[in-house]
This record gives sequence, structure tokens and C-alpha cells, in this order.
Amino acid sequence: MDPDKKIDDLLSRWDVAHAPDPDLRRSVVQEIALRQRRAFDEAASDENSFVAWARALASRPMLSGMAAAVFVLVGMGLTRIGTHFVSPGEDELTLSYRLTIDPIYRVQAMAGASDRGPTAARSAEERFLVESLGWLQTELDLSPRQFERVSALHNSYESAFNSLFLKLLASYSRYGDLDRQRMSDDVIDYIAFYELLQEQERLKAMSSELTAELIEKVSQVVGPDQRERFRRLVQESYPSVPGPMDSRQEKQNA
Amino acid sequence: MLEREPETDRLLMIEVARGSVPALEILMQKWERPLFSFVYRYTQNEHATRDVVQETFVRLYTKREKYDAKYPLASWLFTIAANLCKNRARWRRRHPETSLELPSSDGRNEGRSMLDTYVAEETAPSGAMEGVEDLAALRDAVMTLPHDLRTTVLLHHYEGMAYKDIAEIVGCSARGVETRLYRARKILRKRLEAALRGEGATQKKSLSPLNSELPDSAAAWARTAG
Repeated sequence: MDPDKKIDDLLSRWDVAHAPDPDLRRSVVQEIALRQRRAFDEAASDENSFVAWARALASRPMLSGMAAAVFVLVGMGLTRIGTHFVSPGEDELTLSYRLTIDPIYRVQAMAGASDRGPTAARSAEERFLVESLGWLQTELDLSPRQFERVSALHNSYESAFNSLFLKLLASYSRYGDLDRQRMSDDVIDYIAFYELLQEQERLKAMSSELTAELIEKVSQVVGPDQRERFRRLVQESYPSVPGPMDSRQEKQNA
Repeated sequence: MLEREPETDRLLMIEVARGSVPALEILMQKWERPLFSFVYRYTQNEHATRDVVQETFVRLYTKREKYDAKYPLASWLFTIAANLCKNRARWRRRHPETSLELPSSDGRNEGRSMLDTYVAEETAPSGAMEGVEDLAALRDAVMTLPHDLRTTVLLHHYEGMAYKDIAEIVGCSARGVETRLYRARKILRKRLEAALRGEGATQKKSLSPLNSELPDSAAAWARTAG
């Protein structure tokens, strides 16, 4: 046999049996959290003060971002760390809060960030660092019990939001593929386009409904004044949500 | 071969850059198998492979600000994994007495795991001992390749990567990849022929000039061949 062919043949026969590592996800997240904590500890011990620690956090947005992610996973309560880093308008939702409760907005934000290139994405990232629930707690002056209930509500929607976001992402990606194919082959698969758009509409409608539902549920677990404030905050971004006037009406009716 | 979805990868990496662990999990699900296959063929040790794959994802996250969206994520992931493999091989050369890998009584399987043995048995044509020996000789020969040649061969043959992507990972030009493939094939051919003819003494002699750059179990191979 030709020696080169034999090598190719042997290389092709060299299979690797792979069983997915059931501990991979846990191990990776634990290791990230461990390094994160170590980095914080080192930064804190450098100058041995909270101010030094906060400065280190502010100067390393990646680390603070990761702290936020770890919180989401393990519920460590780190959300309160970063509230100083956002200065939204008085009646505006923070970007991070919108990202938390709105899969459609996440897709749009990603597209915008990627259109503007990595630098813009990084600068956008810095703005998203603040954990949304910490911000909400400050805005609405939630009591610990209210914060607990609001957090639980958001957590219960998190997986559905993530799932919808990923489905939307996949759908947009397929749309991009079809569009590229249309440009290169000059052939338009109308049915595929139509189905894809239908799917996107369905996902968006589902996403909007879920977001509205969460907002409504949050409104129900806070006090009347907090509800009014919350609705004022979300109204601009989500006009279909009952506004402060409606809220007052509800109060009167009650 | 890998199913390439660079745009999805890029979007997910933007999410990861924002600190999203769910996006990291999706990337882990997608890339665990290709990385495992590459690292396993490189190290030929299951424990080492699992460690390297895990560390690759940890670094993907902790170094995410260094990711350049101009390049496919695959290039960056395999660069991290290949560098970890190289570092591990260097560490093993410096600490030959400390090995977590399964020993064997005859030294033949040094640097090998039970998975490797199992795979060899599973993939060998039934009753074809010759085939098993050929495959074992090939794996040994791959282990004797220097880092850049080994990486190039594995990425080219198993991951189906384009020369320009391999060039990014290995740190050379596309033309350099071609040269490396040629050199790797030449070495593999030479060592396979020698091993299969049972020319241990000649083999050992011909290996010696390369010994300074041999990673992992190359020395073991030389001993075995002898």
C-alpha cells in the first residue's frame, strides 16, 4: 500500500470515544468563581480597604461582570455591588434591567453592539455590568422581604427568557444564512423566509407576553407607591404595560 | 468535521463578554466534543484531556476581553487548548517523576488511559491484530511529533480546518502549515515503517536528534521501540 495512503487510512481509523463530562459545567463555573474571588481578595489586600477593592472592581469591568454572572447562577447576592456605576435618567430603565427581562431587547442590543464592532461591544458591556435587581432595589426602595420576592420572580422567568433569547438568536442566524444564500444564488426561497418570519413573530409575541407578565407580577408584590414608580420606569420601554395613571385608578378602585 | 456557525459563535461570545454564563454553557455544549477529540489525540490521556478542556473553557471566560471577533471562535478556542497542551507537555518533561497517568507493566501504555485501550479495542477490525498494531504504532508516532507538527496534523485531519485558521493557531503562514503537514507526514511515514518492520534499534537511533524537542511520551515511545 502507498505509505501516504496508509497514514491517511490509519488516521481515519483513529476514533475517540467521547462521553460528555457531566461535571464540566459545574467545574468550569466553580473554577471561574474561585478565580474571581481570588482576584477580588488580592485586589482588596493590596491596599487593605474597601475603597481599594471598589476601585479594583471599577477598573476591571470584566471581573465585575463575572461577579454578576456568578450571582445569577448561585444566588450569592452580589447584585448590590455595582449600583454606583449606573446613572440612568430619573425615569429610565437601566440597560441591564431591560436585558434581564426582555429577550427581544437582548437580541437587538447584541446586533447593535456587534454592528459597532468589538470596541463598542466592550463599551456597551461596561454599561451592562450593574446587576439589574440591585438597581431595582434601590429605585423602588424594596424591603428585604420584597427584594426576596422580586428576585424569586425574576429567577423563575430567567430560564424562559434565556430559552427565548437563544431561539430568537438561532432564528436570526438562519435568516442571515437565507439572506446570504439569496444574494449569492439569486434564488429566493419564499416559503422558508415566510416560515422564518412567522417563527420570529411568534417568538417575539411570546417574549413580549412573558415580559409583560413578569412586570405585572412584580407590580403585584410591591406597595402602591413602589408600583407607581415601577410602572413609570417601565412605561417608556413597554407602553402596553399599565402606566402610573392606571395605577392610581387601581388604587382608587381598591 | 465541525459544523461551522461562526456568526452564532460570535454573537454568543459577545454575550459571554458581557458576563453571560448561559451563553458560555451553550459554547461548552457545542465545543466540548471537538476540543476533547483534539486534546485527547494530542495527549492520549483521558484525565489530562478533561483537565485541559475544562481549563480551556475557564480561560475562554476569564480572558474573554481578549477575543477578537474578526477571527472565528474555533481558532481562538483551539489556540487556547493547543497552548495548554504544550504547557502540559513542557511541565511533564520537567517533572518526569510526577505523573497522574496510568502506568503499565511493560511501559507500552505509558501516557495512555483506559479509554484509549478501550477505543483501540472497539475500533480494531475483529481478529485483525495487525490493524490494532498499526493503529498503536500511528498513535505512538503522533506522540513523537513536535508540538506544532502534531497540532497541525490533528487540526487538519480531524477538525477539517482551513490552512489560514490553522496558521492562526500554530502561529505561522498558510504556506507554513503546508510545510508542517509535509514534514509531519514524512516523520510519521518514517516511524511507522520502522515500527512495523520492528527496527527498534534503528528507530531509537533515528529519534535521538529530535529528543530535545519531543513532548509527552516520546521518550516512552523511544524506549518501547527499543
